[in-house]
Amino acid sequence: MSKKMIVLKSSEGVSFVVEEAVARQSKIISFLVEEFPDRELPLTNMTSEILRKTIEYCKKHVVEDDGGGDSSSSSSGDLKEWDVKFVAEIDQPRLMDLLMAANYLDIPSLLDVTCQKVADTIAACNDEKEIRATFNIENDFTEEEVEAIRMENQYPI
Amino acid sequence: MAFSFDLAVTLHRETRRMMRRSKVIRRRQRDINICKSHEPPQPQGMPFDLVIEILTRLPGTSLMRFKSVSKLWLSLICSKYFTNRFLKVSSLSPRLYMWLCLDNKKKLLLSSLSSHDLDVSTMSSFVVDQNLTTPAMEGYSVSHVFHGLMCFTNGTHAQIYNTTTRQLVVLPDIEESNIIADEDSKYSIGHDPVHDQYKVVCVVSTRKDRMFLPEHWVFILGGGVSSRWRKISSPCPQHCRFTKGLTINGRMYYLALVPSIKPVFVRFDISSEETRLLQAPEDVTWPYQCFQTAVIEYDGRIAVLGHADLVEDGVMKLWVMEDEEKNMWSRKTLVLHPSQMNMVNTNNANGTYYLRVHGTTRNGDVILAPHNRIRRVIHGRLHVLPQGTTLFYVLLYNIQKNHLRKVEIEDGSNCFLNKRLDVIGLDDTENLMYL
Repeated sequence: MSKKMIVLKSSEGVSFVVEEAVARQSKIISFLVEEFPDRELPLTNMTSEILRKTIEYCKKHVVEDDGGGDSSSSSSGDLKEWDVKFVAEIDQPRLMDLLMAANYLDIPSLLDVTCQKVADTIAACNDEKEIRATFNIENDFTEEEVEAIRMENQYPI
Repeated sequence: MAFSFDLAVTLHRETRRMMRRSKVIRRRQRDINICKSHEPPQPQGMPFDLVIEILTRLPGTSLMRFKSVSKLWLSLICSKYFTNRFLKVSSLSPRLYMWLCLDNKKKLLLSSLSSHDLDVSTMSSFVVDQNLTTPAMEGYSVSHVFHGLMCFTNGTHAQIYNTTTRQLVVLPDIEESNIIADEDSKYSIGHDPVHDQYKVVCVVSTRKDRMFLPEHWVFILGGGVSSRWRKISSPCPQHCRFTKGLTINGRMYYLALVPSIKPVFVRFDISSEETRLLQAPEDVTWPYQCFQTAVIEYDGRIAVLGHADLVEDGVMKLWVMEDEEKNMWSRKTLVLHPSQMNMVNTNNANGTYYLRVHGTTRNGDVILAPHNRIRRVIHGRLHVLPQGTTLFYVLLYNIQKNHLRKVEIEDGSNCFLNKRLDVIGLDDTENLMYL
């Protein structure tokens, strides 16, 4: 039995042919293939690189879901390990892009692992300056305001 | 028809938002007006709801340290919407809270660190290495831990402490009460699910001409400096409380005595502030059973655990509230396996040792901690006073499996030597609430 394929197109115009079951992990694509069957889906705000990563994640997860049946604890454990490795290998700017992609395409499990990875990165920062530098956040506080927050906090920093 | 993926995405997302929105009560909407769907993009293009997704996954300690990253982070972390979201997703191992008695007056408030990696059902020790003591706590002891909030009491004075933000506020005195000055006041923290408010409930009662005259006072937390204690106006049937209160699903339950010296079970509704006397389990007898009886949560229901015979005989009694409206209790006798008896009776050489219930863990294990007791006559009445113990462990008892487990309390910062400890309890909640 041949599997149904769909075509996803990146912002650069590169087409990716993906099994429908793989792509359907995105709730949005799932919704769209029902509404507009047999159409190429243009993802104008996703680069080929990020789309490739997203598809890689979805492929891994769809295989495990199908093959495992009532997925045993070891396979879900393996999958968790795979997820950790998957996000660990991505650099910071691309991780943010992937997180945005997971949110845009509505893939809850990918959104969860990417958000957790970003949270872990934040938690590992030594101070607020390091966070601002890592995530390109502008400091809109004055020195006095920062001091006031610190005083109110009474928290060992 | 021109096909637009972006339009489809927007449509789908709006549908999701509307569905989510409809569940949120109107009052909460006021709090989240900062995260409406068309908020301006963040400097790095990150939508607001994603910033929330990320920040809810951070430990509370990190959030407190990183409030000063930007004004956006500060207003978000302090908002009630975020505080509520954070409370729900927090899935940490419980922290053990304890006092370390340095001498008769000075005590340290210590805790273990919580972690996503530890599982309380298998862990063998709590490593206590966090010192939470501040000078303002001197003279106080803890009466209650609930949802990351602690209530400290010192005679008639009370303070509330947030274990995550480490904010400590002194509650005003209850000045209008005639009773409170000469009675031990009993404070508990509870959550009112209807108004989404935390309330401190103070239960006092006095005995006069063979009558018990109880008073219930309520203080709403987070109401700012203008907050005052309010005496509950709804009628309060005569009773005198003798166990700690268990707050669950917006209600507080405790055992009490009525003037005929008969035990009753009391239900106090934290939202409506109504008190109802229910029948206590038949064989909860005063005073023998009552000293070592605790109201606990068992299998999602209210239960009473009598453990007066645990140390001597390894026997406990469990009464489970089967039907609250019909006042129906079921009864069970729990007999500890002989091989586990050594965990409860080894330290009872001089008869001053006993085990006290400190609630249950999220997976249903009853927390028992060793305590010493001394009996002392104060104002002509006999008081059993808890006193620190040198036994650094807690016992976790699984009722369903009838299995007892010892979890050591490890000295993470080398300060236990020759000291006594007083276990306060376990709590697995990180609460960012501003008091």
